[in-house]
Amino acid sequence: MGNDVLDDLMNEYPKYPLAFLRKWRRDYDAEQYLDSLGPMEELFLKEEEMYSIPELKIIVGLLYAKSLAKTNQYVLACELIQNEFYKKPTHTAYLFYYAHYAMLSPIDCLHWASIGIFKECLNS
Amino acid sequence: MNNSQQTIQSHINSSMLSKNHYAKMDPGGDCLSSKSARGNLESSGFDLDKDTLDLIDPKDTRRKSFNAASGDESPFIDEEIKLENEGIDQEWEKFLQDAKINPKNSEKKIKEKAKISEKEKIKYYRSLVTKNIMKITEKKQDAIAPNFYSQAVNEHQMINEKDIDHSTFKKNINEILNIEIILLVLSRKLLHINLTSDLEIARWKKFLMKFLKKNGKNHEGLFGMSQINFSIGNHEVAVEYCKKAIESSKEIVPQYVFWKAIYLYFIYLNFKLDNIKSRKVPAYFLSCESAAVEALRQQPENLTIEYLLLILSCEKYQLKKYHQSMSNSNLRSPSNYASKIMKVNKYIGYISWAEIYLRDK
Repeated sequence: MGNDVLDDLMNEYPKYPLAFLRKWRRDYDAEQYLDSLGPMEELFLKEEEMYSIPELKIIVGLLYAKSLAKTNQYVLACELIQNEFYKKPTHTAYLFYYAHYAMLSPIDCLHWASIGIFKECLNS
Repeated sequence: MNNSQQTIQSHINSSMLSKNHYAKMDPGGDCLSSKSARGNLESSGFDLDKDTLDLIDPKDTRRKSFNAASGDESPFIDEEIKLENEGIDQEWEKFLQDAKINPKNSEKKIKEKAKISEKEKIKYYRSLVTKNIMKITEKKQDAIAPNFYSQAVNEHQMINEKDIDHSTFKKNINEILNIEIILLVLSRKLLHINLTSDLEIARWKKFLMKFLKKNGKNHEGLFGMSQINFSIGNHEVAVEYCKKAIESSKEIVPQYVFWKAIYLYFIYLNFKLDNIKSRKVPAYFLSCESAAVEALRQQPENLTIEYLLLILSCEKYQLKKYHQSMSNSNLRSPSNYASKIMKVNKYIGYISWAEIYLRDK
């Protein structure tokens, strides 16, 4: 029932983000990580005009990357965070998450990159 | 100068000259300002003296609008000049020009306007008045009192905001959304520590530490410190600073009480997610509840507090299984809060009902 209400809200009010966020939380907490990708992807691709709160863009980026990492798409998660970091280079939280997902990935070269980035995180 | 040219000049002058000139020329005052008297003026071959002719500006553009060939004089010329002097808008001038070219059309327009209901008329005239105010104020700001000017500008801006859909949407979404409600909907225990840049935190912390050394009991400085500690995840320190800010402020600031409830909720959430059986869980739950109830008393229309109370009342039933002390809680049922939110805002109302259904499951 609650899920249906959220789906209806997402269809009827596509520019309001609360239903998308609650849907993500519901799927993520239920460990349905593939389902949790959908609402965040939709929210991430929306125009920046709807982000009346500047922090919302950061939240959506981080949650989307989290879902990507849980579905073993580590490279995509790292790319997404890298792009967001270029937009806001003062947010060192992005560096931490980049290093975190790079370390979790099965690609060896990313492991070396993550060590360097963790060192950079300690310096900043 | 032939007769027709003389009459033309005399008519132009009749509108331009002051009453003193007329008083000299016509001591009896028979010809003054009355349009009906102009015919007599023309027929009597009224000539101007040298002094009055010197007053005529040879570059006057009014002459061009004069139809010398037909000899017809515009009946609106007096009004037109007055209007120009007073700075009245172009709409009225257009109306007059139309009336000159096609007097029948202007009559039609007047008839059409007469059909419009009185309310619409009043609206139309008010819009004209505001336009004129704007024009005058733009030209002569010094001449008008500053309060009146600001009032006129505000009214104009308000009208614009209402007319544009995009701005009203932005306004609505701003009214509904804030970062606190997003954090409550997500209920992640440490997501908010990623939202502020480290540089900004370091800068503000340094500034506020210096500020509080000089003004130790300044409530704004103390609240700032509580916000910084919250944004780096030191929730308990944030609550302490917030309590100090509430104590040191002479009047109760509703925002401080509201944020105290938010800080306490995140402390409770941290303890609950770590170990739900911990004794600290009901202690922080109850203190969060009392802070939220106090905040709602200060801000009865704040939807974020209502939503916080709804979450707490949902979790109350879950915690009752582990802690007996939860019976001290005086929270109402979640549906009560959801229906209250629904009355104020439908969108957050539906989100609240979804929250209840999802937790029931």
